[in-house]
Amino acid sequence: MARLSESLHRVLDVAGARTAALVDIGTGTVVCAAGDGGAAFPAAAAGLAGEARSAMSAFGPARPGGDLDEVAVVTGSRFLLSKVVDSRAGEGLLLFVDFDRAQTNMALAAWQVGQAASALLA
Amino acid sequence: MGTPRGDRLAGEAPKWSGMLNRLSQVLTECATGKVSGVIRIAGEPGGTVHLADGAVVAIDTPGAPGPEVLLLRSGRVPEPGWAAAFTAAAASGEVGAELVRRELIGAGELEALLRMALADAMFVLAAGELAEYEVDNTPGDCVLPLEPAIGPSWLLAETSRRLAVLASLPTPVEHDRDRWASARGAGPAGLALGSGQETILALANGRRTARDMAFALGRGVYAVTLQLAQMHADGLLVPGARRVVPAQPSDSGHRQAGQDKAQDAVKSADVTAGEQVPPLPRRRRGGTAQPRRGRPAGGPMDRAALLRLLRPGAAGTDEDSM
Repeated sequence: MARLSESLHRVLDVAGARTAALVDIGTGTVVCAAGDGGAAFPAAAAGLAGEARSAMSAFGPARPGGDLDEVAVVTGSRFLLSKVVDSRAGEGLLLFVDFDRAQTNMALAAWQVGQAASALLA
Repeated sequence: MGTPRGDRLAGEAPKWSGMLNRLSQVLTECATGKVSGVIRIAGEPGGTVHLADGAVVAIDTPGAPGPEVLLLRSGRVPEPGWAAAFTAAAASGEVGAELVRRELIGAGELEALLRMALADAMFVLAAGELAEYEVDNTPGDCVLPLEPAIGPSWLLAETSRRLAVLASLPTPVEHDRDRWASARGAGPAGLALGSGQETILALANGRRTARDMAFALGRGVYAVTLQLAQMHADGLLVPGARRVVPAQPSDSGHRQAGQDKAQDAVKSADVTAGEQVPPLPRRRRGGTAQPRRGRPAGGPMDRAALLRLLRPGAAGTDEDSM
């Protein structure tokens, strides 16, 4: 089967993508990953999951603007995109992709990741 | 407001480090030997690790909800759909493929759920007590095996991370011992509930642990434990009485299935697996409160006692008829 691994490797075809991972929002667990995230990747993924939880909490239960869709972090050299692919009370999954900013068209990359995310769990 | 566990001395190694090391050793040996079969772990909570070519395909443990509970209790798969898929897959045994074929769950979502279930089960095994383990090369039955199987390194690394996170909490929480009650009116004013906190508060009746809530909600034990810790920090929950877990013998050991049967029989009192614990003595009407005089476990019964059992109308040994 290896469906998740294959799907994540396809995400790496997006220009500038270095690492793609499916991360559990509730626990920060890297469920599956593709690419070389390095030894610090699990800790970084847990941090990103925490950011997603914080954002969800900040919206409150009413969520007047709708559910959290994605979290983007831009640094001098990186573009980190976390796309919510499955959301339930207290849990859910993120598709996290680490891009090299110099090689990435951020708007196009966000659209391509969105397309991949919709098929990831199917 | 009470404080959960705080009984570890500064500088003392956490109890789980030894357990994790033992599990790591066993799983690594099985991976090296490409074992296909099961590892039966006796202890608290104990469990069975299913292996294929040394990789892990499933873990059964009473300490964490299995995939079936996660699918059904969370409402991801409706019960009638599950029952139909289970029946249809009776011949092939491929329940997972049947669930996907019926579009009750996506293949990717099922794989993610099975991986998370394995990580959760390994977490509770590592956080528990290991009394004894046994490697059996006979494959066991499991309803939803993970395909492809996963190597032990990912499971062990994730387990280590989880245990370290819990150990670093300001107020350590034990998922199988600390019971929780809602702190009605004690939460900060204006704090809006969300992310399933209402459900947690409804379950927090002072008698449920994180494990109990995980089973009730169809969620992972670790995820619920983290959420309880956060809600405790927010003043929404208070710890109640702690569940007492029976102590396990410290002389943990390894058995190979089919070996040393006679020795096992003599040592049966040391074995702490649920099915091998000697039953409690039963009181009979008109009998004394003395426990039954047991024969040596697994040893030969003496001939006189055997003849008494075979005698017509005999219900048991002498003390039974008292």
